Amino acid sequence: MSSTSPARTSSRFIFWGFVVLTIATATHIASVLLMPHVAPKSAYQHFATTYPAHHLFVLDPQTEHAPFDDPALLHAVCVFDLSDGPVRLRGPVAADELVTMSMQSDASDVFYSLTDRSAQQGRFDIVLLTQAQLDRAEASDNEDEPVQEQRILTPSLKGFIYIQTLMERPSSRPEAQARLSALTCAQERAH
Amino acid sequence: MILTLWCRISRPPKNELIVRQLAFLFALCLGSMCLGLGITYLALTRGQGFDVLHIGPWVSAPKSGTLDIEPYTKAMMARSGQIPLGIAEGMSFSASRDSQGRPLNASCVYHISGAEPSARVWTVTLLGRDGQALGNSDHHSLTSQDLVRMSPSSFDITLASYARPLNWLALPKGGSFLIMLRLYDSSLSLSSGALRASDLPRIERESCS
Repeated sequence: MSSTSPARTSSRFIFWGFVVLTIATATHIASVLLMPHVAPKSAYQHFATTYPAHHLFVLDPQTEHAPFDDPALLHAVCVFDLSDGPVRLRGPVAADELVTMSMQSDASDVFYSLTDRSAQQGRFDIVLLTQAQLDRAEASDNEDEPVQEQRILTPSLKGFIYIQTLMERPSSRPEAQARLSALTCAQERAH
Repeated sequence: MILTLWCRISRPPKNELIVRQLAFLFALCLGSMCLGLGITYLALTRGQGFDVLHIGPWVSAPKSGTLDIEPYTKAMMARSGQIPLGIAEGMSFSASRDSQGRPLNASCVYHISGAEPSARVWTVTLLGRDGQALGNSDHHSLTSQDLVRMSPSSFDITLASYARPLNWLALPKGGSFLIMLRLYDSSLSLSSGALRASDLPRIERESCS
């Protein structure tokens, strides 16, 4: 027979209940915060394991679509890794044709987004850089000439650019595909 | 630290007792961690996130396309593979209920109507509750450029499982579904909190079979 008093049993129960709650809460918070980095089905993990970096791929809407994607839009992706240099996305933009893009890190953060209205003189010329690469680029800028390219500082070395354009109707997919295929995404070794 | 506290409130250990106590601690830690992971699973599969706006029947996570995204929404999107719209691209809303608060049911007929949302292009899409397409039909999505308008600034889209004249989106034969409304290059702002229910379309139920 146990000689433990009811008061002592109660205090032990409260103590161990507190321990359980503390460990469960810590595990819950840690798993929520870690999820974007480890989720095997995250958009970055999917694209990074499916497509080579620094090339633009137009996604086939029949076989390749993320959950909740808009079927009225055609999508393209460029996976980037800035370890060896900045990445440049450039190409023409047709007047009044909706093109939007977002830049996302490998931790599922959207760190920049824009539409075709940001294009200068009918062209996208966007460079993704780290802080060190940006410093080097600014040091080599000619003070007498305005910078033509749109420089975007990235919070992480890896990520992807997700580009979308409107297909007015299913039959206008070739035109939408041509708009996206006219863009190029490539790494620059030195900046 | 836990072991020290345990030793303080327990009787002096013998070898067998220590083994039992360690086994108890191990089981307790494992059970607690499973509880924490279970709560995470429920929160990410059944929750909506904390920073969510309800505007009439429409729900939106206004910061999902920014670096200020709230951790639960971010974890949910990473887990499902969803790609949020960047804040400059536009804004997206989902509805799983009509304007009277009743769950959407594919055996009913609905009308999405009202004033045109303020956006360069907007689209309405029907999806399954998991965000996947309802089928291969071309009639699950409409863009603002496709719409037949009876007046310059308003519209009416019919959602039904059988073909209807003018603007029609095809519902499956039964079950629940989601309506997604996306406003691209919109002048509306979610971050200001100034968006009103009248700025977005209504979802009215006509009849149910």
